[in-house]
Amino acid sequence: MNCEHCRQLISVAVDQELTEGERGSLDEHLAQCSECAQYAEQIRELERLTAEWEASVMPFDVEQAVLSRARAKPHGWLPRLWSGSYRIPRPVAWAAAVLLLVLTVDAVRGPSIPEQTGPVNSGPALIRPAVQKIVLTESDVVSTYTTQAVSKDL
Amino acid sequence: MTPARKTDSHSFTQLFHLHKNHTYDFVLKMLGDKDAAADVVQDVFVKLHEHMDRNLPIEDTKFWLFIVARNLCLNYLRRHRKQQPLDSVIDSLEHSYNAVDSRLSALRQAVGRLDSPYKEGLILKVYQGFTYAEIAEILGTTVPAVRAILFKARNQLRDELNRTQAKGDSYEL
Repeated sequence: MNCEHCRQLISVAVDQELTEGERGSLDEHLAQCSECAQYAEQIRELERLTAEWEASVMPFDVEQAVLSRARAKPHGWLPRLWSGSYRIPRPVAWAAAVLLLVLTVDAVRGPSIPEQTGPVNSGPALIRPAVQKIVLTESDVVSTYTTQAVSKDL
Repeated sequence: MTPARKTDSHSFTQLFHLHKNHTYDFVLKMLGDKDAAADVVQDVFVKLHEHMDRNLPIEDTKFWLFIVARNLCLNYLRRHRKQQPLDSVIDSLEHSYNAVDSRLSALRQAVGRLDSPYKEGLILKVYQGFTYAEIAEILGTTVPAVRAILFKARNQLRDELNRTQAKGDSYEL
């Protein structure tokens, strides 16, 4: 065992968490190394000093402040939300924010008009005739061409 | 790993009276300032009250309180470290304890100067009597890491006290 390992074990020994094997090797090293034995004595002295720092008791005014703050907390999520003590979970808050943004953008842009790009093969029967009206058939083209040719000749 | 613990079924007031002193002692030793400790400890117990109010499960109240207290202390220290120079922290530490014993005064100052994981580990072990496995659970680390933390904490404390002694103060280790 080297001195560094020995000093780590001294700290563990002070905390009474040494295993039996570790205890044996530590004692063996301490018997041979005066520097580590001196270090062990310093750590034991440090431990005696730290033990003198007594525990503090919660002052009465702090105790009363805690109890009155806890009692003042409104019950139920809605009153707590109103009072600001209830936090909405972050994913829910984000989802609500995104939804609000989408609805706002949608409201600003106004109602959207669907664009028709190709022939209508499906859809409600009431819409179909109106759309079909603007689709030119071959006969329409021929008749238009004929009309233009006739007017040119005239 | 600690064995599974029984769920507490006490009321908030019972739990508060059961845990108020060791929670307060931990927070005061961590922050070294009575006013700050009073604020943080209030937040800890208000969180407990909210948690119980929402019927959320707490496996072991003492562990839960120490984890919450530790996080709130770290948040407080993080927020105030930039604003408050260390010397003023030490002054408030002395004011909080009305120190008369120079050795204890030196110790408190040295603990106040310890880096965060070392201070937490030392307080949880020496003053709260937790085992290495329990400290590992509270700090969210492993038992070998806790061993290393306490070894380094004691070394840092010893060096700090020896420096204080070298400056001519009456303390000697």
